[in-house]
Amino acid sequence: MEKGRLLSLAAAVFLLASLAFPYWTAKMNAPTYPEQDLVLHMYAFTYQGDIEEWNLVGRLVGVRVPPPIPDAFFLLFPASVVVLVLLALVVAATRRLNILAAVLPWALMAVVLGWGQYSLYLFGHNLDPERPLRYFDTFTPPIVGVLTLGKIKTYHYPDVGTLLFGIGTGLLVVNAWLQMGAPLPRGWPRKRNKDLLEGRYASSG
Amino acid sequence: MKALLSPKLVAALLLGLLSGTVLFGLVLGPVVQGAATPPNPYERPYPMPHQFWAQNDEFYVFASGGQQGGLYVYGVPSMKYLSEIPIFVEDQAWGWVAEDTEIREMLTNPWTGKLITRGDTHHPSASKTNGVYDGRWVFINDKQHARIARVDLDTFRTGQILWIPNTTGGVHGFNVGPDTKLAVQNFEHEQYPEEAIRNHLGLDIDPIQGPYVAGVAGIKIADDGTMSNAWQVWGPWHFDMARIGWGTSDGWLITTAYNTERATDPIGMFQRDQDYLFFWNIASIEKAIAEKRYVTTQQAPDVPVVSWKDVEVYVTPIPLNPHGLDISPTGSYILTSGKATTLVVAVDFGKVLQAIQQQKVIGEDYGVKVLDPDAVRAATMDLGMGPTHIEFDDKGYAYVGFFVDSDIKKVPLGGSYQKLHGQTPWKVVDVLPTHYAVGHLVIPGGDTAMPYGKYIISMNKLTKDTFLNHGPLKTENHELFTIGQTPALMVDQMALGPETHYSQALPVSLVKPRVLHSYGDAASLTSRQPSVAYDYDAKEVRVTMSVVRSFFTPGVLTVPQGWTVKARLISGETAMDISHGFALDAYNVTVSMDPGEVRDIEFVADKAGVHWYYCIWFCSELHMEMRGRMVVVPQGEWTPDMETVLPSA
Repeated sequence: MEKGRLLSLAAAVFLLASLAFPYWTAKMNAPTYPEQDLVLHMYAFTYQGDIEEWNLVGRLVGVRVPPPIPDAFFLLFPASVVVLVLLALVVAATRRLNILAAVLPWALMAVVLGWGQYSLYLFGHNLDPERPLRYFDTFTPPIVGVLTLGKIKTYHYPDVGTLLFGIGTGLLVVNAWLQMGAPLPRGWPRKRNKDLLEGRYASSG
Repeated sequence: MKALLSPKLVAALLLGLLSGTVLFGLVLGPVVQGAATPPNPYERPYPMPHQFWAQNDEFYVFASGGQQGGLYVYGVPSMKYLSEIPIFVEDQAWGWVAEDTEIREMLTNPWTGKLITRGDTHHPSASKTNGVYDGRWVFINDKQHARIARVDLDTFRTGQILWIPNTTGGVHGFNVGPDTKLAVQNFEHEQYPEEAIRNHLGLDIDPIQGPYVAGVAGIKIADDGTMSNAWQVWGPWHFDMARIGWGTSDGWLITTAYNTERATDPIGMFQRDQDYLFFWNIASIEKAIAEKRYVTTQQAPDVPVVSWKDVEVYVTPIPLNPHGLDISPTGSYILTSGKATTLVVAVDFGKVLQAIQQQKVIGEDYGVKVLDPDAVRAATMDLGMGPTHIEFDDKGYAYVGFFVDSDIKKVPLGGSYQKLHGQTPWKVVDVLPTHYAVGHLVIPGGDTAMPYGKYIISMNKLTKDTFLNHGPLKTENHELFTIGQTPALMVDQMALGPETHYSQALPVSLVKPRVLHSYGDAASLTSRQPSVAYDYDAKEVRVTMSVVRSFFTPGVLTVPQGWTVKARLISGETAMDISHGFALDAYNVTVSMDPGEVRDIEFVADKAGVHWYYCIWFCSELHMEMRGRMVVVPQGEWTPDMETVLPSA
């Protein structure tokens, strides 16, 4: 099978597999939970983790997990990933729409990142006015990074789902790159450059 | 130069360097290090890192509390007090109170209906498989009220209390068998039993003058740990310590009696020259029951009572007023001590079986054959004043405690144990001074087929001047010795409240306490929703109350004065160490809930007014605010619109 098809097929597999893993994880480390960090995993479809325990702590400062995310997100986001999977398959089958398939995942991820960060902003700014402990001001947890509230730290980071999504996206980008016939970046194996110059891939464009 | 640095030479040098390093590290290193550092069997780092003892303690000790009524728990070698497990005595600190309906049922005498909240725990005995601790349960008896409890080691809570019939109390020796199928409970205090038993024994017993009779209760233990009264054997004597044999002594119940005089006053109990060690063939008891040679009583119509005359039992004389009775790891030696003497006797059970077979008897007492002591003894040792209990280590030594001498004496066992220690048996090889007056001793696994050795703990009856003076009533103490070397070293001690009798020390790896309770099944989770229901016919308020940081739900409960409140309190906590309580102002109600635990309580709301219920554990920074109101409306002022109505979920 030619490389472009293989890359697109592999991308479809990675994108599809990403749905089975959490895309984003938050962990809370607090002095009163030495036994284990509290976790919150965001999947494409849902969220899981120590929700009740997290909210017992959060209730004191007026927050609730998960951050405010419309139910529609858990429908639209996995549907979008499925569309990307189908698109990758179309690319593999037809060798068309290469650039669209390479660009769309970035667009989706940009929307999700923006949406996610906005949700986190709302999470830290719409504090319950009846919260018992009001010594914390409003805050914005970073979508990637650490939030420190006194001796409580929450760590936020992309998880396995995002990694798989990223690999799938990367494969689609490489595929598109190859299809465009552009020179390969520096450091690409010399033989490949030679092959390219000699037009060995010309038929695949 | 080039020739000198040939590859072969370089390789040889490197190999030599490597070998030298390994040799030094494995052989010479420890020697040099040992010479430079004095031996310290109890090294503690400084500063002490967090969790050091959580990670380094090797054994749990479950120590009977005596008049404390439950068990103390601590770690070894840290000697750090961990908890108490209340059993027969109410203890609100550890959440064991009779307001809880399940606990009240356990503490209520099934024959009189009386709630009994006093007790005297004596002899814990851990569950075993093939004679070795298995970490499932610790059983323990209440001397005062003739009860046996099972403590579940997954929750560190009492799971069952079994009441022993046909006795007014005063039980003593208790032991669980090598496979946790059978336990035995001796009746120490003589009884004037029901007529059925008196007639069956055929002894002349005056209710005032005696001489009275006593028995041994056999307790069946099911696979899930449920205990039931299986049988009783009664005879002319009382019975003190008890052990169920294994190995060489498998199938035999061994007991002592210090009052073979059958006296009713202390002086009378010292009048004979010697007392008895008893050997009961357990199969013969079961056979007598199978052949219907038993009676039952009105109190316990389903518990067969067998006469000593209908079973296979033998005695042999032992030093006066025996106290200790312990079996060596292979089940071959029975060591017993005469508390009123300086003697400790080792009975060889192999010789006992031989003497029975060859009828080496020196007479009969109440029809029981008296085995010739010379034919059954391996040794009679004159070791010191006031010998009490005995434990065994993993290297073939016995350790005997001495109340009057205030020490422990280490004695090599004979027979096959000589291969382990290579010493002349039955001679003292070490003396461990204690402070003061040893009662029991415990070596981890020291009463099983597999002692772990390494440590011995002396459970002393007197502390005198050991600690800061704290008034006329002095604490007790436990002293920890390392016994991997001779002489043994006393490395630590702890003050522990009154008054430990025996203890069990189990390896940490065997005990798996849960972080959470999981009372009830998953289906009951649907009933965890808070609710309040008023029953005007029964005059009852039934409430299901959710208890979770930092709220009681319902937070207000209205009750007509004089009504009964039946409350199911449900902890919604799942985090480690987050306990809650429910204490009610002006009412005699205080309960505690472990994480996830469910408590059913019941009381009469007889005092009008606003009564706050509050959490007794400092559960969060909002602990003080974690409270709700029970409003008891005076009689005649109640109207149904005052009912507590919960907002719909």
